[in-house]
Amino acid sequence: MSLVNSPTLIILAYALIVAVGIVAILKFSKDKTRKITSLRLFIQIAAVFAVFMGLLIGPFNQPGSIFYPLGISPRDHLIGSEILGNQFPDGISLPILACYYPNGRTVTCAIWQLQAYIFPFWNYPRGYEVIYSTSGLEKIGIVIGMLVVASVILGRLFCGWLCPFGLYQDLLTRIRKSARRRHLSFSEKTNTKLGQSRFIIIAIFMILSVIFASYAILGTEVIPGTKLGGPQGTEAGIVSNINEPFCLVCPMRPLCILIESAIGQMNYSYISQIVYGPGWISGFYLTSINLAILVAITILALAYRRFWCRICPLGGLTALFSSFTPFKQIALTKLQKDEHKCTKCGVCKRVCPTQATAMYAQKGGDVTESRCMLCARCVEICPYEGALKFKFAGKTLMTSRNWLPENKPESSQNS
Amino acid sequence: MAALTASNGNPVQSGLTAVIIVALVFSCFYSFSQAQARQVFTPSDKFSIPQLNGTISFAFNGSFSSAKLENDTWVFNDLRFNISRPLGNLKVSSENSNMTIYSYQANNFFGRSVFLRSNVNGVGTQMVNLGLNVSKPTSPSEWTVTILGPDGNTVFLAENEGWKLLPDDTMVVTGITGNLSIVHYNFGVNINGNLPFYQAHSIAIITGIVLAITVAVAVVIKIKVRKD
Repeated sequence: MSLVNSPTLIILAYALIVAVGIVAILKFSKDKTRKITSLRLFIQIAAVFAVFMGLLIGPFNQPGSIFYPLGISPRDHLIGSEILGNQFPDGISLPILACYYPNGRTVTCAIWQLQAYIFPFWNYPRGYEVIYSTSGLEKIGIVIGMLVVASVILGRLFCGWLCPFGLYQDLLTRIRKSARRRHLSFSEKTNTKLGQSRFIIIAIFMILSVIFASYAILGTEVIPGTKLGGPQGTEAGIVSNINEPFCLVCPMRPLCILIESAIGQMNYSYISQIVYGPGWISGFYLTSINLAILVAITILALAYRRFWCRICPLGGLTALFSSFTPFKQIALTKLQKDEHKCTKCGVCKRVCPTQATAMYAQKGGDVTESRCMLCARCVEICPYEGALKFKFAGKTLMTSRNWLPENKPESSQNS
Repeated sequence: MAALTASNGNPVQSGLTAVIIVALVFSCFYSFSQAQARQVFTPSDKFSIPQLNGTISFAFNGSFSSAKLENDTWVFNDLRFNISRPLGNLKVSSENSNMTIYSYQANNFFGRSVFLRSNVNGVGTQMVNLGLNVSKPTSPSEWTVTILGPDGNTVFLAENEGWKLLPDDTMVVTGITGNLSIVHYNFGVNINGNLPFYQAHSIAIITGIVLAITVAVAVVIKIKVRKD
């Protein structure tokens, strides 16, 4: 494949633009208390464009457009079907809400994959416009393997820096701030309970997926209408609306579909194969439950910073593989505290979007906890040199600085 | 003026970035700026096929660049509804029945399926060619034909239970009335069951190796950091 006829050209150009942007922010951003935040916002936006690149480029690769030589949209040809083949054609699993429905097969939300490979594609050869050559158990093994690798390397940095829904909530926070409204906070007890609820949510939806897949796994149809298969290996018999139960309550899907519709790029092919008859669009993609949850989460995220991240089951999975023993011992991305330099001023826990407290309450050392999204806002705002450090593989990437005039040594103030 | 020199780099790079972004944005819209003379149609327009006693119509207002009746088959070029993106080219015929097309996608820029959704009035035969651009004839297993059952549920029809596929990928549907949906899935890959184990499970093996390497490297780093 020549470079001109490959999505590689677009990817390289995009990577160059992002790299230039990062360098520019690091070089020109003067406000020490906003530098990391600005960098994070830029990377979040860049991540959204990267994740949904196929969606954004797809409409334009028509005759006459400069994207035409690229062929069919990278959505289908970038990573998923073309590189991973029919062993794993739905794309690399990432612990971010890279919604499968508009995104397709570049990178995919791991929760969608876990549910889909338990039900409806447990040992079923035909997926949504793809054929699987691997068993359900093998696909689930690959998803978990990819999740563990991602979590060990970057941990919940995915939530803080890369998740599209995290960006949505951060934008809501900016809107609230521009309206000069203060955020609300949960009590420590409630916040802890919310954090624990993530694991209950995962468990519920995984158990639901197993129940729906009972015929495929156990040979017994616990829920009527969940028997797979049909003429010519079609999806007949699947109760389509419960294919991926978590996706029916996930706020990211309606948000993506609304945006996709708003820019005139609603993917009719995905809908047409699923639901038929009057109201078929709303029947599958925009259920009233979905929309109600999106509205509720939006309101709550306006009031409470990063509300969804406190209960997000995908964030919970990432935390499970990065913030708990034995994974915590080997996690490469960490927040570290020097207790000798900390004055317990408490500014770190006040600025934390998810109200994590370990960086304040714990004495020192590794203060990464399951609620921490590694957004590094605490590192940025901490006014004591070296009290908090953001480390990757033992190397310090970011460290807290003396930015308050009274904290600066005499000599530096005079200079 | 040192800030503008190439040796400094960053202002030059920022300028280049801006130029690239502007060029990309403008080029995206270029293809849509070339308007063509088009013929419009409305839901009340019937494209009749006198020899076969059938008609074709569309459920929405739309337009096409050309349409002609060839061998009792209507050939529409660059078809589009006013409410949707360009639909593509379509060859369709209807015998002893009236066919109303309300959704059609030949050039699917996103997914790998092309489809036609229609309503058939009258028991007859419909022939549809979705204009697939494939190097060899498709397999019937790549096709899905569905109708809406009396209880409102979707009914999947097996091959030869109301439809068959001709060598030129023309779908022939017989004896069906009501809502008819024809979908072709271009999977693009063939499963070879005779591959050796390491090839058939290469992704799982690679994932396992990457996982093992990640854990090993993480442990080494952990030990090294602890020593330091």
